[in-house]
Amino acid sequence: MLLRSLVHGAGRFAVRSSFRNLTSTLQTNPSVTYQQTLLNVPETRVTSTKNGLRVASEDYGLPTCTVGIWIDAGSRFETAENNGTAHFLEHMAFKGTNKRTQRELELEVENLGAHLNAYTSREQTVYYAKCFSKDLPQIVELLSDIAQNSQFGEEEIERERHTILREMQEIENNLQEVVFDHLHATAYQGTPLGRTILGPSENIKSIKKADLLKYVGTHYRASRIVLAAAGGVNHDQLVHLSEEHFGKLKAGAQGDFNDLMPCRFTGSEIRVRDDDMPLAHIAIAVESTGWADADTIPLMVASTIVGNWDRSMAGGGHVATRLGQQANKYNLCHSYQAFNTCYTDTGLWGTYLVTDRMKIDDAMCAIQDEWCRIATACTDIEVTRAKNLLKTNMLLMLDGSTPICEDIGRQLLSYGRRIPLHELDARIDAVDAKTVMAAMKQYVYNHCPAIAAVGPIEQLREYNRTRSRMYTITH
Amino acid sequence: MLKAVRIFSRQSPVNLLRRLSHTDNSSIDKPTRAASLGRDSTFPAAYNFPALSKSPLWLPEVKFAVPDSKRYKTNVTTLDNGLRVASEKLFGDFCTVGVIISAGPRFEGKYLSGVSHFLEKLAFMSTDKYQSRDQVIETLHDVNAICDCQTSRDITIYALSCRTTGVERVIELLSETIFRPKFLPEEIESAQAAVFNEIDDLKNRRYDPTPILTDMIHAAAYGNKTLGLPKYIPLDNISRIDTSMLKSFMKEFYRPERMVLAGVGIDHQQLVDLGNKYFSVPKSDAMNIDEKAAEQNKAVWTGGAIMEERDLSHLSFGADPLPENVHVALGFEAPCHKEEHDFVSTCVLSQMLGGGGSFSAGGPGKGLYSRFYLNVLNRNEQIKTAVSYNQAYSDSGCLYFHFGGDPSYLRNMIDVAIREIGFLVSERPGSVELERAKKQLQSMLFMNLEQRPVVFEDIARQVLSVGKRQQADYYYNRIERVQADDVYEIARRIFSKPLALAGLGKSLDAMRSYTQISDTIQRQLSAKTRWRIFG
Repeated sequence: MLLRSLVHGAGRFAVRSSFRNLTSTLQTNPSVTYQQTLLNVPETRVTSTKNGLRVASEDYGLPTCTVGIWIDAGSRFETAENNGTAHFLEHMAFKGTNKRTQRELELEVENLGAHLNAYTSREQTVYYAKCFSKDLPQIVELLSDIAQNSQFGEEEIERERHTILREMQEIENNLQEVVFDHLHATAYQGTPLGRTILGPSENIKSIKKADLLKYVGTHYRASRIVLAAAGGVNHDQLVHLSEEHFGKLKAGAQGDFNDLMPCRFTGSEIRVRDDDMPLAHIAIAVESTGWADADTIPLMVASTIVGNWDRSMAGGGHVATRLGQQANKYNLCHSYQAFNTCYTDTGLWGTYLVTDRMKIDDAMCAIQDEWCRIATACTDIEVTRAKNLLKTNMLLMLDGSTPICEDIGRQLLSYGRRIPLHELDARIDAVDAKTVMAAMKQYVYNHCPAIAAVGPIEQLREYNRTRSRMYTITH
Repeated sequence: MLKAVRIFSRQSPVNLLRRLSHTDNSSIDKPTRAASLGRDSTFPAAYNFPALSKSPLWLPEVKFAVPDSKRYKTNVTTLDNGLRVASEKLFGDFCTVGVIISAGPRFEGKYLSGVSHFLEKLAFMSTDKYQSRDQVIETLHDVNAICDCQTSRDITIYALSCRTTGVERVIELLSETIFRPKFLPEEIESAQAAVFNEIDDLKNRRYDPTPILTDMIHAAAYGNKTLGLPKYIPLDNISRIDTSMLKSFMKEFYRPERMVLAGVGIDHQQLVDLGNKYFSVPKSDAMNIDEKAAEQNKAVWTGGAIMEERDLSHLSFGADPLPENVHVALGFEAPCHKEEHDFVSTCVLSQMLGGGGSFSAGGPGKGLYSRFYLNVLNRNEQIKTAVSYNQAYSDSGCLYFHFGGDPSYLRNMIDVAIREIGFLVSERPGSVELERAKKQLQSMLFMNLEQRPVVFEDIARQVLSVGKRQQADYYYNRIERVQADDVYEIARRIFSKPLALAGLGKSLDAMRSYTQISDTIQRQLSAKTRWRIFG
């Protein structure tokens, strides 16, 4: 029976998430002191090694663990000419190093019963492994080998081009991915965040070994890397392993970071009309905050008030949100989902919608009306509810060593630290209706949205009409 | 172009690393990028917090926990009415509690198929105590809980994860939804819509047909009875299932002696007390009927074929759609999970075959050196999917292979599958591949058990079927002891059983007949002809 449990594969695709990136366990019951509550969570231990690489871990005393390197580099650091390099690199990571051939590397991992995975987002590149805790030293060595000594053989590069082009095809079939790529393309037009992670196919076909080496040389610097682990992990051992295997990594000069250009947001739209498709897929978003901005928390609460809904949820699902109830009652859409995607200095706060061609206007109206209502007249009851739900979602996500490890790595890169639970708790608890309305007025109400729409979208109103629904006139 | 100025550079550089670090880091003199991340609140009148990269100074000092790597025992208590209560302690602030019931599609014989699917959608709706769904949601929010109801062929699970402080309220909610649901007309209506939409999505929008194929292979294997009854409701039944049918199904199967109340991360005595308080429904006196029903419900493997000719070309759209595939499944009766030794050997066998998609997420570790990768996917470009599944139940099991690929390659696909069966029944696996499969199975076991809901389900299932729970270490050792002979013998036993065959897609006519395929597989078992495929 034990063996019947399913294995959940981790995706290699771009990571997009609303609030899953935040943090760990919190407490809500005010009668319990922080001290008592926190006894149930291990500390995140953080150490900087000599060359500036940060080591962060949480020990849960488990027989298995997740360990990986989180690198402050992604497609945002590319130019139009080399767009796709970061992702290409991620693909080449498992294709052999100076010490191991591809086959040796694969067999080593498979024979340990371990799992190796990687993903690239617009700002981060991640290589991680899951393994038995006793194999941690061998796996850290292997990760360091991949990061520092990958071979990038010409033959393997050629082969990988096809894999990536195939991956592109797969992504083009995932309409949510397509819509979000279009949304970035229009919202961040003319800036690196507007480009896709995979890059255009011309680039995929032309990227060379030299491009890969250059990218690694520039970006894979110790000060931009976090070695994170969770599960059965001894922090001191991990620090020791880091010094042993990553000690020779160049620290990286301060000047490197000048290549992080601010990415300007433009209220605009992209329409890809295709009447042969069964459903319309639309994303609408305004510019929100960067990862580490304090205002991110009230915006997440606002996003939770908008909520999400899917028609296969019975009884309107767990619908406590007004918009969800409307979607259910008036059959507005197949599904909708509020999102808040953050980057270092900017973000996209909005709603993704899948609906029937004849329901587009009703659904868009309902979404924008709800935004305006939250900005002008949200109630403390729904804010309390949303705060609770936000905490639940964030906490229950952190189950198992991999989500925890991902959280540690990402927070260290995004915030430069891991936010302790009681602090996050305090930050969420302090949000009330007044705060939510202030945040909505600051970032959403009467701001220009970016819109991306794919499918039979004839009914989607002209941009200025949509823009004029970003505020309400009350008499 | 914009000037390359970092817009967040207006903040004073604070070396956060230095503050957090546990070792000497004097070599880092310059402020890092992290030090100037983020903006403070832009509307401090309503919300006064510094950027998330900075800690508000007024926060209290806290003390963190130190992990306890000791494994806890699972405690099991049987209450007077036959309800079993099982629990295990776990590190953390949250717990998962729920009820597992021996009920599901396999018991729907004298009802209409789909009752369980329907009930799944009606879970956690209004009850005698909770006047409306809103009140249920309110309770969930109060204790930071999420709820879920899942049905598999032989089992139904109602479970919640919540803060440990809210456990009493969620147990009351569980008892309400299981014993005293209202099934208001509007709830029935929305459940109808929900099951319809789910099936519509599965059949018309999903490129991967695995859930449908799984239903089909079970139907073929068990002659549309017991374990062969569909998990997904047949569309015709949606409007025919009514409240009285749902209630009588629940009355027959939702009884304390067919249930386990299980909890992870909760004190055992507390759970027993709450079980007594909220689950003290009387034991039913229908034991005789029960035995008779159990006899009728015994799964009988019949084998057979089910083919569904269907155009799947519309499942992928966009500028560059993925190719249309045809899917087949070949199933054989495998040991039930009570035959522990054989069951574990079958799991190793299935792991050794492994497989996946020719294009799938994940790096090394996903089974790249399993037989279905090495022999099938890597060598046959036209085959896009080859996976081995092993599903075990209390009285039977189903080992099946899902092959999918180019419709024109259908015949070859079947030949390739049969050749793999031929290898399995003619020689013992090599020690390297066997050890690899065992290690992977072991690590999968432990990695899955990192998650609280998985631990919950494992405890609940084991206690329901055998009354106690073996820890992961126990299975680790069982796997360790599996030898090449065990795998070889179990393979010969399994593949001598009648074949179940399912096909989904277009041009299924091109496939050889059931008899031909079945005979060829049987021929593999006799040494003389083992390499000959079709003629």
